[in-house]
Amino acid sequence: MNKKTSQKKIQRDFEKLLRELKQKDAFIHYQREHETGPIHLGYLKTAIDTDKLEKYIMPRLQEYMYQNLNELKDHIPFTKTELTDDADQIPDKLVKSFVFIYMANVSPSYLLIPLPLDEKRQVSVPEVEFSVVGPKEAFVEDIDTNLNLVRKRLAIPELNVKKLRVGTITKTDVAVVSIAGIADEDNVKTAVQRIKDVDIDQVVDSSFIQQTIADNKNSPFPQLLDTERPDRIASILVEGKVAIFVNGSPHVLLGPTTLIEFFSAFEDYFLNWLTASSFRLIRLIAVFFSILITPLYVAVLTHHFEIVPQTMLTTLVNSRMQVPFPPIIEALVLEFAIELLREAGARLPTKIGQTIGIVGGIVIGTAAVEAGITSNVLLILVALAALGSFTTPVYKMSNTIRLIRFPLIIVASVYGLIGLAISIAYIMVHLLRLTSLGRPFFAPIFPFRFADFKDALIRLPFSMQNKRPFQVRPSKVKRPVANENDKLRDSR
Amino acid sequence: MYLKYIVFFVFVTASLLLNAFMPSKIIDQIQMITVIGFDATEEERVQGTVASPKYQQEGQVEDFIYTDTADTVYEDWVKLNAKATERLLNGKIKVVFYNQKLAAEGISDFIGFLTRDPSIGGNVSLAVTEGSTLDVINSATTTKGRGIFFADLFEHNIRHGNLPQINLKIFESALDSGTQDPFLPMLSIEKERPALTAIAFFKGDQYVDKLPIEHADVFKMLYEKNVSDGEYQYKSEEYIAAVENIETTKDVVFETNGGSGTVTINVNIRGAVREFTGQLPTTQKEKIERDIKQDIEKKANRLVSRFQELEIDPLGIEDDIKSGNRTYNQKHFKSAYPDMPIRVNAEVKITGYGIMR
Repeated sequence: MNKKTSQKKIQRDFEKLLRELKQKDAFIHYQREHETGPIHLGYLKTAIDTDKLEKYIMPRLQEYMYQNLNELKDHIPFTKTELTDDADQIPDKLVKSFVFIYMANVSPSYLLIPLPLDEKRQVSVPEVEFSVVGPKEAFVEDIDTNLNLVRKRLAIPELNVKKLRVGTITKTDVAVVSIAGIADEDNVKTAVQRIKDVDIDQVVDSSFIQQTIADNKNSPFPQLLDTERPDRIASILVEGKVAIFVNGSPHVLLGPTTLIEFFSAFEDYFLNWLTASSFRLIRLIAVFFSILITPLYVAVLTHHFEIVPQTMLTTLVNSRMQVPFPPIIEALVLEFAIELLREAGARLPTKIGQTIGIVGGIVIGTAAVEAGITSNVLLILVALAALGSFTTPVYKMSNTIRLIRFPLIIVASVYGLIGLAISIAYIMVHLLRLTSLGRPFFAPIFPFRFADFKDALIRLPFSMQNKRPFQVRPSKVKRPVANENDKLRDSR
Repeated sequence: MYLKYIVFFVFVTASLLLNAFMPSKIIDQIQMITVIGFDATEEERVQGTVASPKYQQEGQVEDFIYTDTADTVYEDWVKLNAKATERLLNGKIKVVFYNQKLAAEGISDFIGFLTRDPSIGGNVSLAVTEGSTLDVINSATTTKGRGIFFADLFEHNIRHGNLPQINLKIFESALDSGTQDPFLPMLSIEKERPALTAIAFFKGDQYVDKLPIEHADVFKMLYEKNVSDGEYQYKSEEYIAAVENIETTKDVVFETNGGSGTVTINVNIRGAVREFTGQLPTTQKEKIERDIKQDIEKKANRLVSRFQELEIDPLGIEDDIKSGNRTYNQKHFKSAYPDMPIRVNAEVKITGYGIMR
């Protein structure tokens, strides 16, 4: 009696559900008769893989003799199938790529089969952090593929993956990855705690996490490094750092990081240490050059003619002879032009973008000088400064570098070198105070960690990288790197 | 919580806006003084002449020369500014000339303004001119500007010629030390071109004597602690030798054996013979070395006794003794200096004779 009434209720619920679902565009409903009564099959066309449905489900449904859904379930070659009587959860499951099969008069009466459509990009060559030598795999948008790319490189049971859900609407999968026994537990806990505390409706990319869990959200400096190279993530995990994967993002965050790490390309580790160190130094010099050269030009030409060497005065004054503006206007016009070019190049498709580069570089540059809007010398300096900012391997940092130039130019024009010195001191203090997942961001310069310089401004050979960076407080500091032959030679 | 950011932002913006039209010295809206000349005049204390470059197209420089008389330097500048199209500024002064007459009267009044101005560095060349400074400045013909012209003239003579290291800072410290008398290069006009002709010696800040530049090689060896690229011409009836690439080291030894003490200046000279008029020099190395040693010692002793007669000490002997001797007493030394036995001891080593085919 009781069973019958409940069966009736289920049938009523199902009819109601079917009416509701039929309102939807993408809903496909299929019905066939069976000895126990009608069998209904339904799914959302855009959510499931119809190939799989036709190949594996439909034949079973039509050919196989079964009395209830439990029997059917055993013969369907998919895991994660579910049986239920509850009609309320069906719409939710349908959008999550499930197919339901309803069989009247038996209990349980719904069989749910997941048939997700695996639309994902192939693993391809890294484009942002391209390197000539070394592995050529880059992360894709799918978190499981990304985790797999790292697992391939770190096939160890200690690899700790903690999955979280972020986003009140998107419910995006976020994974905090570290190596147990090497990474500091505090760092992992900090990362997990901060991600749990994030209260945001959507997480579309790892940048959302990067910005919401930043130590100082008002800082122009990114405080977590993002990379698209699985080899880099594997390497920093071994160093004792923490990686944060976000579903839907081909960029994986890593922390705690340092300012200098933003200027080290991962290619540095594939080259001989002398070459790598030189290139890293060149990159750091380029950054200083990029930030300071235009402000210095403005400051010197506006206030400090004394410090220009006599022989250079001729060149400077000659090139400025036709220019009717003070240096500040001249510099701002050019910097603005360069930013316009960059922005136009970034917004346009690649092929047109190249044209923009040529138009901007040659036509506008030459024309501006000939028209007497800017001087030749400044044109060269601004172009070099722009070039310098593009040597930074991390795109977000290179944006920051271009940005902090503008206040410096304005201060330099009003207060000269004194103003410039004070502004730089201000930026330095800001950097000293910054932290990344609670660890000092300006290390190893401040707090001074002599041992960490082995992989900071320069990269010393692997035989000297026998300790993990102290800045991240690894649980296990020592790491074996020396060659057996080296050890023998050293002991002799 | 955001109040501090707002306050900071308002403060920075306000300070930038309020100071946006602060007086600036934009490089092409000023006139930079590069050369100054001071002459003694009859009515007022000084006649000041300045040269300021005006940059022409294609890297050419034309100097504007302004001159006027006044009692102070800055009073003079007021008068010169009245003639200049842009503001005259001190920051790029490279060379300052004093004519012989003014130098004989004392130049410390016209050095002070250089050291007091923070925009002027220490590496300013000072020089005495034999005639009017205006004539010397005018006589230079150059497309690079007179500042560079004269600065280069002094610089290469200091580096490779007979002129010892000298600039505003060294002159000033010698003047203030009380233990040393300064010297300056001296320029005159030879065949309508400015030429470095002598070294002018000062007693305090007053010009007293000069030494022709071709004889200044010995002075340079005695004055500098190290000469790195000097030259020396030896002339006798027998042969003439030019010794180039000279490196020297100097060492002053003071011995008090009763009395006022004796000073020995040991000079070690190494150089290569590049020009020679006698027989093959390689066969008579000892003789050449001995001859040159005697020649240098003779010239040096003559120079030192001339300084003693004038009671000036441009070699800084007193300075050396003061720093290395506890019994030093300035009063005592000053009275003893004119009659003090000062001996120069030269060690000459010929290191090469050039390559001959």
